[in-house]
Amino acid sequence: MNNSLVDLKDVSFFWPDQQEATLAIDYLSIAKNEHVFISGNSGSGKTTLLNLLCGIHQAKTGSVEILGQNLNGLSNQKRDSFRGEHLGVIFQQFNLLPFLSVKENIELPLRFSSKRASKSGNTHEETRRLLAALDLPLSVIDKKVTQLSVGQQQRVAACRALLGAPELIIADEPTSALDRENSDNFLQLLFKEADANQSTIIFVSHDEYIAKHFSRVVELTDINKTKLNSSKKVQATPS
Amino acid sequence: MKALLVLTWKSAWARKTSLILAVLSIAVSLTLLLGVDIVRKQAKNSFLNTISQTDLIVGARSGPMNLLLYSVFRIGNATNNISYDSFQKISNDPKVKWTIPLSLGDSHRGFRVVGTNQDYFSYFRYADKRSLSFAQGKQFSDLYDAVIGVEVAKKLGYKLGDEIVLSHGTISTEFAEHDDKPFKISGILAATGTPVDRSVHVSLEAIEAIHIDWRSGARSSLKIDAEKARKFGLKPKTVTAFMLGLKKRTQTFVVQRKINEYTQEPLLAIIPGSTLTDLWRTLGQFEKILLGVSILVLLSGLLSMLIMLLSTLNERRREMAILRAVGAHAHQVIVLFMVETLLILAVGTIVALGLLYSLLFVLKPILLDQYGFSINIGWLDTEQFLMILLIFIMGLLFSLIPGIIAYRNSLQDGLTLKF
Repeated sequence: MNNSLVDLKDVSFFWPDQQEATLAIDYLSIAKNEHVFISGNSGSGKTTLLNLLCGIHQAKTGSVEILGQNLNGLSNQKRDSFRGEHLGVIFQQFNLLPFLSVKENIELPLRFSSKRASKSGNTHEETRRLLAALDLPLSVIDKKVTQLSVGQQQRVAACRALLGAPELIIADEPTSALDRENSDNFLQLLFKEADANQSTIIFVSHDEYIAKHFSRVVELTDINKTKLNSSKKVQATPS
Repeated sequence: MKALLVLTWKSAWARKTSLILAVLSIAVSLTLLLGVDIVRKQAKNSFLNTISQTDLIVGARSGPMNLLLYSVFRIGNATNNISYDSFQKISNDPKVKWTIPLSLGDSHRGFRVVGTNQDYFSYFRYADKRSLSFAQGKQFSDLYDAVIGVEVAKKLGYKLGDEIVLSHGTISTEFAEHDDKPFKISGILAATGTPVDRSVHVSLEAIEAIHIDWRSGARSSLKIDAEKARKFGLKPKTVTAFMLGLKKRTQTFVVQRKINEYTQEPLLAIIPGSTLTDLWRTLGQFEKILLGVSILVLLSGLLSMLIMLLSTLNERRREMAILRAVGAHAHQVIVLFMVETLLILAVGTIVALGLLYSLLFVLKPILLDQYGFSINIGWLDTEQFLMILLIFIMGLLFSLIPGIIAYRNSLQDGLTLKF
């Protein structure tokens, strides 16, 4: 137990006015420093799972424990603060605020969490170190993010997620806009830096090709017991 | 909070075109509102300041408005004159400090002629106890001397020593000119911003002199020329009205009642201040309409700001999702919109004040020159500050609409936006 970072037990989530749960997971545990690949087609509940892990949505039943803290028992505000302090998030694309510079984007989480700011130590140095670690030239630091290529933008997003060494990094198909070579490269750099920080990675994607980089692969349709999901399965399988 | 301020500023600056338009629409409508408010207050002030220090105005019995209009504003005509005898009797009352007789009915090229005496120049007060002063020349000393107001001098291009001819009645016709007895301009009064500027003043005796050979509104066949007229006893027999100052203001009502109950002839005494206020209440409807319109314009300014904020909601959905991902609370999304609104309103107010005072400084000499309307440029009054405060409160309430929509969006969207 004390080796696990994330523990989901008897979790169910319903959208308002819906009879059937969108997500129903009996048990899911993720260990510290693990790199987990969660695969699933659209409609399998990936988005919902991510929002539960990030504390954006709250499960109707069960417990969502991260670092021993049950998010299900926290107020909206406390979950937001928890996310700011302990989580790094990377989206598919458009991760960055176009009106901020690269540096300002990377340091954005520190504006909302003072604990994260103190963990990052010398912010100025740390931002430069991360840029270098993710193979970005130092010259981009004061550039507008719109001047960067998509690959560079995703790496800046990774820098932001890594700054302040959060315990958990959640990535939602961050490589979907990248070609194979860039994807592999991106994952390698992300893993190296996450391992140095001792950060756990939860990576959600439907791209089976990159699953090979991960120590553990979880098929969401296998653990999501909702009827909505199974009915879809039935439709999808030819009789 | 500081983080939100900086973010709002940078986000807003990235959308500066629509933002500047919103600022301008607030600035222009606020300038209009404050401008209208300043002008209407000053118009009221200058209206109520047409005369001051006069405790009562006395005339033949008619309506109080009518008496005020012809005696102070020189609009309309008296229905009747009062006897010089009554005027003198009341003037000699021990409670009365001073009187100014007014004999009206003649005109000069559209400007009213006022027959009066030297007391006019000593006791007449307007605005804040200001007395009349001469821009050029002096008061009348000869029988055929006239003192004109500044507007008469300007409009007709008169200077000291010019000869003018008065007309009988208030409408100038060539059949009713007192052309046998021309007047010489002895003085031009300094600007007052009151109807005095549009008056021609002569002595009561002069009024008698020019009418000496007139009977019931027409020239009689018996002609008496200007020099001969001097030899007649020119003691006035009537005046149209007179202004009156008391030794003790507290006796105003006592003296007013006494005059109203005067038995020798029907008289009416009014308190000019209260009748002026009554009159303004009637005339002042237009200022309320003007104020109403400018409030509506301001409301439409606030609405256009709201439209601007609402139109950015969709493009800002991703911004909100990113901020939420890095730990922003959902309620901080609302704060972003409120801070942006405050920013628009604050800049809008500063621009509006700049615009307002520039306009006032540019218009001040033009208004005084063209309309005899003088504006005092001062700091905003409490009411105007409250107006601005109210606009800020309303603007903040308006900003809650996009704020709450964005809040609900960001709760629903979560972190995973697919675009």
